[in-house]
Amino acid sequence: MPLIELQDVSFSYGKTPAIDQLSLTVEAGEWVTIVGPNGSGKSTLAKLLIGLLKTQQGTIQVAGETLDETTVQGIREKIGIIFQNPDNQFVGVTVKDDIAFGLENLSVPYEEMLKRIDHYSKAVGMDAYLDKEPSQLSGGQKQRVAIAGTLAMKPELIIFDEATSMLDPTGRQAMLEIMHALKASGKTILSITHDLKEALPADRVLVMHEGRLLKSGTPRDILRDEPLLKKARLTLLEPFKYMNQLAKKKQLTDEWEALLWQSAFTL
Amino acid sequence: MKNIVIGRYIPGDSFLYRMDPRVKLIALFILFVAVFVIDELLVMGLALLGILVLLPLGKISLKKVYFGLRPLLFLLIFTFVFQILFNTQGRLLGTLRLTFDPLNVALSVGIFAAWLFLKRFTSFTFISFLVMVAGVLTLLSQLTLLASFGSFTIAIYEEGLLFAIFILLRLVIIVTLSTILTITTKPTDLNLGLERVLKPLKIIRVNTEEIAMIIGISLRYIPTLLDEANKIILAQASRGVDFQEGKIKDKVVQIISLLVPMFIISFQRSDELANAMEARCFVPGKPRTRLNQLTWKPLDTAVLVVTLTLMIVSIGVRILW
Repeated sequence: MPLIELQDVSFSYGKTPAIDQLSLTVEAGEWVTIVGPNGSGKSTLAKLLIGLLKTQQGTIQVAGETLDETTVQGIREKIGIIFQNPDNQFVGVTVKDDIAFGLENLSVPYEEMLKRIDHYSKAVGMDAYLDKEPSQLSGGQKQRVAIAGTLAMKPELIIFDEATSMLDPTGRQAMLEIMHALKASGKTILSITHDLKEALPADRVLVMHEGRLLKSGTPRDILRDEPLLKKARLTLLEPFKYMNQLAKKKQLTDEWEALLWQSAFTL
Repeated sequence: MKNIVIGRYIPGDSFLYRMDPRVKLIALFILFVAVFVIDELLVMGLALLGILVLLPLGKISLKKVYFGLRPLLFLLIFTFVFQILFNTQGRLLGTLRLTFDPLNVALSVGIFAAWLFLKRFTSFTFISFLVMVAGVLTLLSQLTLLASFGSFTIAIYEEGLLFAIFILLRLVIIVTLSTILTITTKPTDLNLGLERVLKPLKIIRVNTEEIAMIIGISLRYIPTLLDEANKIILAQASRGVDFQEGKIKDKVVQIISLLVPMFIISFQRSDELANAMEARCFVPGKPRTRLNQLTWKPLDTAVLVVTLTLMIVSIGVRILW
């Protein structure tokens, strides 16, 4: 049974559909990256998944449960989400308070709360900042606190909705490392981005355009597909450009391909 | 704009800082009752003496308390003067006859204008104000060279003076007590204490937790919004808006150029924040556990006992005196 299953889901804010008859599945333990330009409906998809928006057509199933008003609270406990703006999701007055916010909502007992705050602040490397206020933290640190706050609620799936787009390169790198660690610990990751670099480490990449799914495939398939990316208004990463040029000249050896693939990670 | 201080909290360590915020609020209330029950000037003087002893014990300097009193100074003076001028009971203590002639009125106006101009150069605004008033009164009462066109007699009566002092002491005590509370308690702790103290209001369907949540989020976002305002001021200044100078008409335009973006940004923020809170399973009104626990210490019991005793004593004094 897939962890997430969408069937013919549609949603529109006005006349133009933001999500148009979208069907997709995410398996448990998978790292799926959804790429698409601005306005392709990817953030709307995230809001639909955690029930902040209601589907106008079709059904969303999470771990076998159909998302509706009666199940939405239970499903929100299974799905954590990190939003784009680090400042607008920091609820607590201090780091400690913010990590505790979700736990308080779940009525987690006091002692258990202390344990989880300790554990998850260490997991994201923010244990030295527990009493700091958000104005004393960088954007990347605030995002790490948001991750700790979400992880402390022990979700099965974590959605990163453009979570790195407002960060500097160091902050972004730290976030990616945390995502790798999460993947290794068996969590399911759904990363939503317009940055193709974040598609590299994924198990599967979905390309969205105007509310529809253009293609689903491995990063290897998607990232070299120039016409597809052009249609989705995304630009090919440099190493894949060279890969395609070499392939055209029939000079693309396995060695070159591996090398270029590696170089994409260092961008 | 980093590390901005909200409220008047000043970090420190003394028994006043270590008290449970709930106890601070309740004790403050009890002491307010006691102060309002007192009707003898002597007892009120003793109460003030008590506070003057409390301040060094709680390691709070008089200067900090003065900063708390400062915004209310003119109100205190006004009440004091008003009582003296219009309470005409008891023995007559003395009179001051003011006569007005063109010369001394002109000189008085001159002194007042000079004070208005000079006060920005001194940090003793209040003292210079007193000196200015004394100067004007002396001029008006002593100097009469030209034909006067009117006169006014200030008469001070014993009871009026004593009652004026009594009222002044009462106000000073109340303001000082509240200042001690705000100096020694972080806004977040104060918020938490208020939430717990007002919990009984649940019976009349006042959701104190929700109110506390709203106050808490406001406290959290004040520095962020100030930061934002600063950014907008810089952005507008770089587009030619001059926030420093200008006539009132220009000021309106300047403020609008700040307020409109602030409004839009605040609404976007609150929308995103509401999403983030909901995504983390926040449901308004649903019972929650709390990370911030308040612990009742022996100190708190002692403080409550002392303040309650003070209240009972003041009630007793009032009945038996």
